[in-house]
Parts: sequence; C-alpha cells; structure tokens
Amino acid sequence: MGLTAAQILDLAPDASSRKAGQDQAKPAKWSALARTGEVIWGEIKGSGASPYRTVADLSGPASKCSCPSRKFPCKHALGLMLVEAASPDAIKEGEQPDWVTAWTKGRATRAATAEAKADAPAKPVDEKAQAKRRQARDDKVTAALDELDLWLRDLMRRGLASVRTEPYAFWDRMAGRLVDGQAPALARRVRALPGLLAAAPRGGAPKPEEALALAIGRIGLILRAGRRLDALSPEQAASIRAAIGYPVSAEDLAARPGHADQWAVLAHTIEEDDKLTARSVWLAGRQSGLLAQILDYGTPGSPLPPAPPAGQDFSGEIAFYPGDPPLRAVLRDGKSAASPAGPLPGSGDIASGLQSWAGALASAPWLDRWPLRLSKVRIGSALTGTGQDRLFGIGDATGSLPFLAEPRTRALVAASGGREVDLFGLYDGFALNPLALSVDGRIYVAPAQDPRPFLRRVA
Amino acid sequence: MSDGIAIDADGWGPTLAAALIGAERAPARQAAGPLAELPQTGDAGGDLLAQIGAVGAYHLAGAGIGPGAFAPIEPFEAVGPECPPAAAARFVTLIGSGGSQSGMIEEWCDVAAQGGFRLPPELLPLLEDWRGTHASEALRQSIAGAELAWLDRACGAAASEPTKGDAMDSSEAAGEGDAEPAIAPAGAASGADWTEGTLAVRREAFANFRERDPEAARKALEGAFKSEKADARAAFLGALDIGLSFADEPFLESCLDDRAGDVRRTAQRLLPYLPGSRFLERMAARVTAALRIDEQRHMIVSKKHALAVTLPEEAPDLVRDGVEPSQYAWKKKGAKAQLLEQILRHAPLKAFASHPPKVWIEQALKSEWSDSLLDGFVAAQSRERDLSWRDALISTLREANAGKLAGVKPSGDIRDALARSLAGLPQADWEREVARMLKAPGLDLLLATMEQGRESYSPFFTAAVFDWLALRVRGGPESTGPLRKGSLISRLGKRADPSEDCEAAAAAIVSRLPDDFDTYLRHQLNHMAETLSLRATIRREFATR
Repeated sequence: MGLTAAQILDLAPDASSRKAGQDQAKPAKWSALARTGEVIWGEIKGSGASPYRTVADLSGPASKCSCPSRKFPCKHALGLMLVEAASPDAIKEGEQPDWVTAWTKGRATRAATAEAKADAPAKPVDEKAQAKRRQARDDKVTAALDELDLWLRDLMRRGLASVRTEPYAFWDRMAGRLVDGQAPALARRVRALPGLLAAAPRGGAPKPEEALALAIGRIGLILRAGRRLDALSPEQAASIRAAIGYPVSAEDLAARPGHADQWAVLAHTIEEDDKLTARSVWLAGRQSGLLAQILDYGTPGSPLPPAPPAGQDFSGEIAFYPGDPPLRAVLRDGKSAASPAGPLPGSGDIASGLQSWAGALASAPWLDRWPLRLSKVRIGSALTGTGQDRLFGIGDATGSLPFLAEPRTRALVAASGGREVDLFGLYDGFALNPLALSVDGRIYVAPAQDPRPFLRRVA
Repeated sequence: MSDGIAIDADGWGPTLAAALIGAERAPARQAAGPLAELPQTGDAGGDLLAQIGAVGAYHLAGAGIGPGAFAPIEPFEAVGPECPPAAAARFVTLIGSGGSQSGMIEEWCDVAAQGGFRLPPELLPLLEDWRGTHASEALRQSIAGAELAWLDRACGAAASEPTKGDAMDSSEAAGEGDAEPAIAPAGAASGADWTEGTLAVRREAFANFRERDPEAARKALEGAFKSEKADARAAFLGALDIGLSFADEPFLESCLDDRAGDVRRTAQRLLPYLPGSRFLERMAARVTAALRIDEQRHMIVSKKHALAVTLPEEAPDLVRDGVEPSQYAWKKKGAKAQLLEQILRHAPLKAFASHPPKVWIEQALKSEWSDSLLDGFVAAQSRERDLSWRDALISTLREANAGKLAGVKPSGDIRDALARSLAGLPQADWEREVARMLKAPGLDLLLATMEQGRESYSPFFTAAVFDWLALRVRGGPESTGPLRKGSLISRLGKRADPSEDCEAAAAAIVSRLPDDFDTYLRHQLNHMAETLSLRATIRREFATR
C-alpha cells in the first residue's frame, strides 16, 4: 500500500529537504520511471555529469540514491516517492535494471545476515571481564551519584529562590560530571533545569520555580532509588537504571518477550537537543490495548531510522524495554498496514485517564509525563490547576483537563468542530499536550516536523 | 479530584515554599497524610529533597479538576463540500513556501471559492495567519467565513484564552512569539474598532468601515486626523480610495497642506480622480497657460496648426499640488519639461477641448518636448479612460510608429506610449491586436505591448502565444535574443490560461529546447512551464475527489 504525500514528507530529515523533495516531485524531471510492485525507481538530472539513480521501496519505506547528499532520505528519494504518491498510475510496471536488482538483493542479503546473526549461537562471554567492567561502571556511577547528592542537598539548603541568578555553567558543570560518571540520562535532566527557570510563561504550564522544584524532586527520587537498587523488584530497578542512563544491551533486549498485535500508530513527536534528535513514535495495540513509545535518536551523522507513519497501523511484534510501567519499546518484525476505522484503542474517560497517570506515578514517581488516551470528550474552556485561569481543554462527565497553550490549539479546536472527539496526548499533571485527534472517523495528528499551527489529516 | 481547588490539601504548597527559601531558613516540616512517614535523616537539605520528590509526585498524581468547571464550545455544522485532500495538501505547501508564491495562494483560494469548496477546519489558523492583500479578505470569507466566525466565537467563549489582539500585544512586548502565536488580524478586523490595535490592524478595520459607510468613515477620520501620527494619517487617507467621491474633496484638499509628505502625496494621488475638484481646475488652468494651438488658415479649406509651448516655472503652488521635478526620473528630461509632464498627467482632458485629440497628439509628436507631452497625455487618458482620446492615441501613435506621420520619426518613446495606450483596450480587442502582431515580422512593439499587457490571457490567445513562442525558440539566437529582455517569458506562466492543453503546450516547448539553448532563457522557460503546470495542477486537484 502506498504512502501519502504527508507521510513521505515526515520522513524528510529537515525542513529544507522537505522543500527540495517537493521540488523534485515533478514527473517531468524524471526519466526511466518504472516499478515492480512496491519498488520504484527512476533517473533524475542533478548537478553531476550523469543523472542520479534513485530507487525506493515503499513497503519499508527505504530508499537509495546515487547522489552525493549526506541527508537520508535525500531530496531525490523523497521526490521519487512523492511522484508515486501523487499519481501511482504514472509509474508503469517495468523490468528492474541491474542497479535496482543489486539494491533489492543487497537489502535481502543484509536482512538475511542480520537474521542469521541473531540466530547464531552467541560467542562465549568472558564472564570475569564482564563482571569487572560492570563493577567499574557501577563504581563510577555511585561516585557521580554521591556528588550529585551533595550538590542537591546543598541546593536545598540554600533554597531554590537563590539559584535564579546562577549562570548556565553552574548547572552544566554538574551535568558534565554526571556524563563523566556514566549517568547520561540524569545529566540530561540536570542540564534541562536552567531552561525551566528561563522558560517564558505559558498557559497550562507550571510556574518556573514550581517546575524547577518538581524536576529537582524527581532527580532526588531517582538518586535515592538508585542507591537501593537491590531492594527493588527487577522491573523497578530496570526503570531506575534507565533513568540514570544505563544502556540496555542488545542481547537483553532480544531476550525480552515479544508482543504481537496490530499496533495503531497514534502520533510522532520530535524533540531536538542541540545535536540530538529524539523521535518518539506512539503506538497502541488494537487487541491488547497496550501503549508503547518507540524512541529513536538521530544525530547529524546517523539519521533516524524509518518509522511507520502516523495514521497507519503497524502489524507485527514489538518488545518492551525492561521497566515498570512498561512504555519504551522497539519494533521487531512487521510492516505498515492500513488502519481500520474505529475508536482509539484502549481509550477511556478523563477519570480513568487520570487514574492511569496516578498509577504510573505510583510505580515510577519520577515520571514527568504520561500518555493519555481519552474517548468521547468535548473541547471547551477548562480551569487550570490553580483555578484562576481558563484555557482551552477537554471535559466529560467525569472531569476536565486544560490544554497546554500552544499555536496548534486553535487548529485542534477548529478540527473538532465542537463535537465529541477521541484524543491522544501527553499529560504532565498540569495540562495535556494533545498530539492526535479523532472526530467522526477522521484522524488528525500534529505534524512532528512542522511547527506551523495546523493539523494533518491522516485518515 | 475536586470541583473546588484546594491547593494545600496535599501539603505541596508549604513544601514548595520551603524549597524556595531553603532548608536553612525553613526547616523541613512533615507532610500531612500518607506521606507523614517519610524517614528523617537529620540532614535538613536531604530531608527537604526527599520531601519535594515525594510530595510533588503525590501532588501531581492527585491533580485534576472536576467536570463542573468545564464549558464545552458550541458545535459547528459546516455547509458545503470540503476541498479534496490533494487540494488541502497543496494549500499547506503553498502557504509554507513564503512570499515566493503568495500570488498562488490567492489563486488557490479563488479556485476554491469558485468551486464552492470550504477549507478543511484543521487548516483554518494557517488561513488566518496568511497576510494577503485587501482583496484576499473577500476570498478568505468566501472559503471559510462561517468557520472563522465560529472559531472566533468559540475562542472568545474560552474566557482567558488570549484573543488575537492580546496575543499580538503580549508577543510584541516580550519580543518573541513562541509561547502563543501572534495571530493575524484578518478575521477580527472586519468587526473591530479601527481606533485600536497595530497600524496594520487599524488600517484593515478602517478599510472595512469605509466600504460599509464611506461618509461616516471619512467624518470619523476627519475628527481624529490631527491626533494621529504621520504614518497612520497617510495609511488611513490611502484607504479613502475605496468609495472615493466628490464629498471627500474638501478634506483631501485640506490634506495638501499637511505636515507629512506621505499624507500630501496620498492626497495628490487621489484628487485627480475627483472630476470638478479644485485640484483639477488648477491643473486645467496651468495647461491652458502652458499649451496653445495656433491655427493658420491656408487657402480657406486647409488648416495648419502650430503648438506653442510655454514651459512652467517652479513655484510653491505647483509644489503644493505635487508638481516638482524629480531627480530620480526614469527618462532624462529637463526640470521644466518634467513640470509640464506632471501638469499634463494630472490635468483633466476637458482642458484640451479646444481642439480634437488627434490634433493635440500630432502637435505633441512634432514638438520639441514630445516625450514629456506624450507621457502626460497617455497618463491622463489612462486615468480618465476617455474613449475618444484612447482611440486617437492608438491611431495616431500607430501611424507615427510606422513612420507614416509626416515630420515624426519612429522612436522607442512612441512605441512605449502606443503599448501603454493599447493596454486601455478591452481584453478581447487587446488580444486581437496582439494576435495580429504575433504574425507580423517586427518584435519591438509586440514585446512592449505584452510587457504592458493583461494579467490573464484567454485560451485562444494563450494558444496563439505558445505557437508563436514555439516557432521563436527554434529560430536560433537572433530569433530568441530579444526575448531575454525583461521577465516577459517567466511571467507568461502566470498570465497564460491554466488549461491542460496550454500546460501541455508549454511543457512541449521546454522539452524540445536544443541542448545548446541559451541558459538564461531556458531557466525562464522552465519557470514559465512550472508555474503554469502548478496552476493547472491546482485546478486538477480540485476536480478529483
């Protein structure tokens, strides 16, 4: 099944690629366009001497181009897929030229090798060396946690009101120390603290000091739990280890049980650090009702892997990372599938949504937000937690939640048409950040890479 | 969860206060309720740290507001078909492409309005943000008027949701707009009071006011005029060209003495359009003083005319009416000749009633100041749209351009004046004229006429132009060289009829270009074909469901 133009544009690594890809999406620019099934290819004249050869597999989606661009997918691959999306009939069935066959074969071989590697018996592990490495890391982390503890207690003695004037280096030094101590996830939390203080006031968001206090409280909780890992259940300990920044090895992940289901792809979100792009793909199992977050990181050198587009289904298996409550997961085998019409899987009323938030906090009190799936809610004006401001929000017979004020709120209100909607969003205890909306069988998502105030209709 | 808000019920308020002032000054107090059992370590900082973590999580877990405080917005029932998904996606692309395709957005809206399509609701904020021309407001209303009005009502109902004006002010004050978007004034302007908001908002509101009630709008402006700043005075005065009538004359006349140059220039621009105004009377008097045709009778039957020109002198009353030499004039002319031209430009054509237009034009062509006189006549005609003058200009200039007028040598000035006069013809007549030129050998007049010409071509004429262009580009450098001037070719893309046939004809021209074809012209032709193809695609996308 083909991808829509919007889904293809979501694959673009950045805004300029998106624009350039659209410029290449003109059949007139292409020659030798042809396809066999889901594999399409063509040649396009670029600045090089000979035309670039571009091939794409829509079922992946995956692509390859002979142009020298370091972006992936490059504008030509995007353009090729967009040509197909605009007029699937324009590309006729044809015989694969050698270079296309080579690429498809190469992909198949690589997939087979990867499978064989996964099936092959693991190399004997030098358990002694492994234990030694593990001990060294534990020692390092413990030292870093001790230092963080001292720093935090000092902070609490001084009072958070007094740290407003501290320069960025004050926070960065501690974060750097945590990076050295191999606790990168904690380092990210510390590095985010000055940003909380400097944030502009925003409807639905907590006040800067309150946000800072809560964030420090969470770090304190992780720290405290991190020193008592032995007293926790294995899943709880795994959550804490993830919150500190211990990696989960590929072998451990491969050993996790798989969850096969038809997964509805609810939304994509993208968070950009200065060098790191973190993309979350939010899934909900149609049978199991489970919720999963597929988190991938991209850097300028290694782009984000392809992901099933929002609004479609992913039919296949995923595996959860160890942790309680389970949320982060990886995709295993499977492919994109058409999404059946129907209610948002696993959704409920606002009271049950808040219950799930409280439940998640009970197992992992350092969570800063949690995905909520809500059904049959109306959009309207809701009170914020302080009871003083009114914001757009949702409500039903069991309660109400304000939205986090953002440019897209107006588009969300408009798309709802004032009717009952199903909604997916992230809740932080103050306000809901809506990411996807379903009204009368139409599904809208907030485009992850386009900051403009509109929603994209995906079904 | 509660309907009322009890902030401190879970002990978060005191805990937060303690965290802010620090454990040294506010020793950690024990939390109430289920968290009373928190262990104490004896270290005040550590205890407070544990407390904000635990009480904070407890506080967040209990967050939530009951249904009582919630007020849903009224539902909206859309009337009319929503535009097809492909067209909606095109809208998003066009509106994201920045200024380069702003004309295309207007065209998209126009096609949507003609087909009776509504903009999909999830895109409404993009339409609101779009800053088009004054005409685009009507388009906006016709493709999403009811939806925008509903959205405004809905947003107004959510009381402290920032309204458009607030959002703009606050974001301007903060110098950034990322927290809440600065939303364009479009929808609100029509109903808003023109005395409040930013200048762009106020101008839009005043223009709408003027459209509804020209008389009241002018009176309101007159009353508040003195207290406005110069740029605001000029902006509002410029809006008077909507529904301009003789009733505005006294006010506009008084604006000629305004302190601000922009205001004076705006008044000078509008006054020539008011027949019978004092401004036009003064200009007529100046024309009479400057130009005189003497008749000499020969042998009773034939008459001989001679134009006597008295060049005007610079004077304060001329400057007041905007007649002054410009240092930046496009053509090189003497200062007094420039004064003469400007007087003619702003003069009523009835000032020349003493002789038929043809006599004036012939005499002007033969005069020493022919280009000033000619430019003045053509400008005055295009302002007054006087048919006898238009026809006289076309026929006389055509003779002169062909070298058939005794004593007048054809020149570029004459050709340009002819092209500008032809632009006054009705669309069908103009196209017939140009179609005839397409078949004639000369290029200069054709190109000049097309540069001046229409912004949209009929299918018949587009086909004729593309046939001609296809022949031209095959003719080698001598044949294509003149086409490189100006941006005529790339503008063809916007002017041509956006049918599939014309799109195919343009694509065919581009695809048959020889390999060694002129790079600049190839670029222009490509641009033309792409623009036309985009316009045709926009229409196709509306046609496919």
